[in-house]
Amino acid sequence: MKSQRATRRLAAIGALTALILVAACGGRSDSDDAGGTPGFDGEKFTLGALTPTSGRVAVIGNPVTLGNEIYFKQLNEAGGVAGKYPVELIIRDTKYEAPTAAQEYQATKDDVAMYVQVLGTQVVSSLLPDLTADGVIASPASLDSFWVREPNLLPWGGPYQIQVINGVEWYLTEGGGKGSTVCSMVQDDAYGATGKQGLDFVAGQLDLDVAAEVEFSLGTTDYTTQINQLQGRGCETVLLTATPADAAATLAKAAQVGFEPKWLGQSPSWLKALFEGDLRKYAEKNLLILAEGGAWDPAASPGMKNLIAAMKTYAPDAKPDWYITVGWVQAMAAHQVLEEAVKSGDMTREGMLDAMNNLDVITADGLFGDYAWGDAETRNPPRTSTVYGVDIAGSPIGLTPVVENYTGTSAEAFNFDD
Amino acid sequence: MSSSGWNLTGDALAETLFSGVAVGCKYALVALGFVIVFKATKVLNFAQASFVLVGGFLCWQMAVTWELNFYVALLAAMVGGAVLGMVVEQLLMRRLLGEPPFALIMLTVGVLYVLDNVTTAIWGPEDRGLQDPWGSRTVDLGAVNLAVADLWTIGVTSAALLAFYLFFGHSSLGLAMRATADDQEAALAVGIDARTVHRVSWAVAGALGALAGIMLASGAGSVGPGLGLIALVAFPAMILGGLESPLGAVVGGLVIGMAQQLTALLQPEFAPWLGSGFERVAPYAIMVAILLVRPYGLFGEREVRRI
Amino acid sequence: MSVLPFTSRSAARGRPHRNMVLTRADDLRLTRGPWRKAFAVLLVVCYLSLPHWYSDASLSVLTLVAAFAIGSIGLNLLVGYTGQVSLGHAAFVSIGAFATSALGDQRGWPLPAYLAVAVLVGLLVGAIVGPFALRLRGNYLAIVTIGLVFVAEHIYRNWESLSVPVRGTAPTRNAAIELGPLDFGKGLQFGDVVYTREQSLFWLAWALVALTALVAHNITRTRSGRAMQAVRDHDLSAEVIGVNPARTKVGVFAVSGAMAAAGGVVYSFTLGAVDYHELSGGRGLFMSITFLAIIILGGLGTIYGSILGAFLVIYGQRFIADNGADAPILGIPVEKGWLSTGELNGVLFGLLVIGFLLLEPRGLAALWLRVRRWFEKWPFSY
Repeated sequence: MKSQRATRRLAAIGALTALILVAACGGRSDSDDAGGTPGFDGEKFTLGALTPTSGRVAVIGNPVTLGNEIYFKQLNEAGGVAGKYPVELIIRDTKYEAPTAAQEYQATKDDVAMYVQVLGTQVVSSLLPDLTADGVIASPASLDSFWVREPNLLPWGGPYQIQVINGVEWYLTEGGGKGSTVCSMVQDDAYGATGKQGLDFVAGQLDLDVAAEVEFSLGTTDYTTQINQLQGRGCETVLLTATPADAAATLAKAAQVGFEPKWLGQSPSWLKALFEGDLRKYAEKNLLILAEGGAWDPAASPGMKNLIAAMKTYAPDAKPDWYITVGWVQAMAAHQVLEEAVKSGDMTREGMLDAMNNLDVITADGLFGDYAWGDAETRNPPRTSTVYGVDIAGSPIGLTPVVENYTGTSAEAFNFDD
Repeated sequence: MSSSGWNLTGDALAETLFSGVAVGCKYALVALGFVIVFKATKVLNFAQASFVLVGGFLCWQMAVTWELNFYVALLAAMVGGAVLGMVVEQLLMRRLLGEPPFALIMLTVGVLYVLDNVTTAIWGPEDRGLQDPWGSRTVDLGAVNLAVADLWTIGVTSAALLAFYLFFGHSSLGLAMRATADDQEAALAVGIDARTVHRVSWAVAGALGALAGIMLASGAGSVGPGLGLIALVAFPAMILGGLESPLGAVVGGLVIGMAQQLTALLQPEFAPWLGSGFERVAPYAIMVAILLVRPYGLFGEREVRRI
Repeated sequence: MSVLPFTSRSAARGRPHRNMVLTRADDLRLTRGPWRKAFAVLLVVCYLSLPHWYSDASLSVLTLVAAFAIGSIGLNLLVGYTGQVSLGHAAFVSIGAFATSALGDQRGWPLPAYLAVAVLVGLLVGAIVGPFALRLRGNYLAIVTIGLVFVAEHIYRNWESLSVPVRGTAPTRNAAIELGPLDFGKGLQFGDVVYTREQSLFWLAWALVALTALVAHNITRTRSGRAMQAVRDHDLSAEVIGVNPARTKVGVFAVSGAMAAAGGVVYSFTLGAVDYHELSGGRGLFMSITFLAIIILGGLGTIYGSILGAFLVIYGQRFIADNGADAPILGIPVEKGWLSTGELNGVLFGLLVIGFLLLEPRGLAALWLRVRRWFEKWPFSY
């Protein structure tokens, strides 16, 4: 019943619409030239930052990104990489979600030379297979020890495990906690696992028992039961792996029931605004923060002097924050890789990776310890940590070092190959 | 975790039970907000979570930034919540009355997305202390320490429930609301203005949401973008009591709060095979168990269905 | 045909109108009339040619759209056709994602095998959840299905060898994506012509969308499809006329679960690794809500509406993320504007849902019908 004419007409319609679509959509634009030097056009470098600028974790993402930005602003003022190539940033909001980050990665990877920041253990883990397949370098804003042996990653500073090992060892040997009953209270996720891993290692080294391991979930409404468990086991030193709101709620509950162990909080537990009110006295007496670096003071190190000067110029209204240091150090590490790449003259993906591996050391200008660099197998993170005490009045970030750049025997023994 | 060396004292148990009541009251305050809107308009209001969030931030804005007296700020934030509730009803909910439950739920979900994102855009993502006068103060009963903020939460919830009872039982507007809930056309026929009823119920829900947010942020808590997440646990609390029953909301809240705290205390010790973090799923497990026996909740009204 | 009295009348003037359904055979045709055939040809042309012009980045977004389209078609069968509300759809999606990771990536199973396992497990879990719908209705069912994402979260949190086998995630990047000689994962290769992974996955994903749509279309126009709509419109009446509501509800929960799991397999292709926090618990609830929004914006009770909705929501969010930073109200930390792109996306998502519910509750599908009617009645279309 179907006439030939109808068929021919259909074919004509099909061909016509195909033509219109070609005209409308245009040719394939970007991916064909991806073989060249993505993120470098001969005049400037473009770097990416995948970070939460909305949602709960933006409270960490924003200061880290600020650190990235002011570093490069100051660098561009001085001419840029090798004095002639300024650096531009593409900042994309991941909302701290791995799937969103994967999309943002796909959308930006062909436009950037490397990622100066990818925030979050979960996000970095999820992107790693793609980063490796595409040969792209990224600096994780996450202190997991997984990253040390990854050829495509550019970590900085001592991992969480090192911070915990050093902090616990220092407190139990020199810090006044000798012979105390050690417990832990950790978040039930990958971040919590880092705290637990560090504590287990140092417990094995120092031959001590962990009397209670209490877990909690992000955003728990009331911490009475967790405090009861710690109190019931006579805990005197408690490793706290939490985020600020949960850390503050835990300490407030402990203060209410009169439970006063020494809390050793991992660095992400701290947010000055939450501890400067009613909790101040309790926190100043009972809380130590395990991190890396020095005081927020121009005299502390050359890096800190530059950072504070750059903040005065480019972000005079921003609140001082430990995470700005993190962003600054990341940018500094990326800058060292770019300098090396310019020196070699090869700005392709392979050239960047080679340049990175050619470095012997990645310095943090005294802000953090120097990272022994080279091929992935030879990298060795700094094993120094700083234990901070709470001092709301005495420091812009609310923390002053109790012991600086401490390295215990346990941290020396920690092996990143397992 | 081994059970050796664990010393569960009677005091600790008492503190846990008390915290269960306090947590339960927070759930109950959120659930009461759900119930009043549902009772009057048959809308399951997901935006209640936003009222909680906005209420917490409003109170912080007034008490900390503008340095008003905390109790004045609390009342003002409740008024703010009430106005917000009324605006949502006036602008949106009114237009979709009588649509299937699914469309109504999604409309309130749309409101939730808008309000939550605008709130974090205005106030930023940081958590902050409410600096309430209760703080970490406690009342000591023997060896048991009761947080002042928790006592206030319990008091406020009891007052809210009492007010509900008096309102629905003895005020003409309350009676009008019950009549509208039972049969809107019959209520209209006897001269009840359904619009007023709806507006008032949304206003009360907004005020209750704000109050819940403030109680949640007071004491050991803080104000931050995660404040509205409590609604995820208030859902089972509300539904196991029955969608229409204020008493059910409070009983449901207490059951869930108590179950959660006892699970968190005892389950890792005595039933570790249930897995870590069981207290997060426990409210839903209890809810499913109760609903399978009583499909309309403990105090809910069985829907009459006609062919 | 000629036995029908009125066909002879119209035969006198030629043929009956091309869209007229006269016989069972007409009803079973996939396309009716030349315009629909032309449209089908157009779609096929687009399908084959799009990957040649679009960047890999855009294609991976379109593959994500396909994943959401597959899941949404399943949800539309449940919500749009049968009237059962589910806020636990993300839990079914997670089944497909973890099947891809555990079987495809970790154990190296071929695509048909882990896709089949995902679909079967989705079917099974759907059939287990279905009976709750027999006892609970409307709002009560909606809240109880939220429980699904929390139960899923609890299972994943405690089953670490499945959910976080490598560095805190479940990788999917190296899952074998092959069908016979066609290797979509590494990129298709025909002689000297080599295509990228993104191009190949686009073809695979949208072929699966077409297959799912065809299955769903066939379900809705058979006896079970009519039973579903009878249950939706009035389940007691349906029972009276001989429909078994129990079987219908359980069956549709199972089918919808299976489709969501298939969607989850495609979803995991667009990621290097799966993070269970995004597919279960509180964030899982928000993902379920995204699915519901997709079918509302697309059109409840239409198959192609699910696809349009997925396109609008997923592609729209990407568009904002890619271009939003240039808008004046947006900003980044130092010179912070008022909204971040993530917040803008949230606000727009909410406004879209509100706007469609108030102005066109039947979704994009109905907008299209309006346009079509306007043209059909032209020049009398007012």
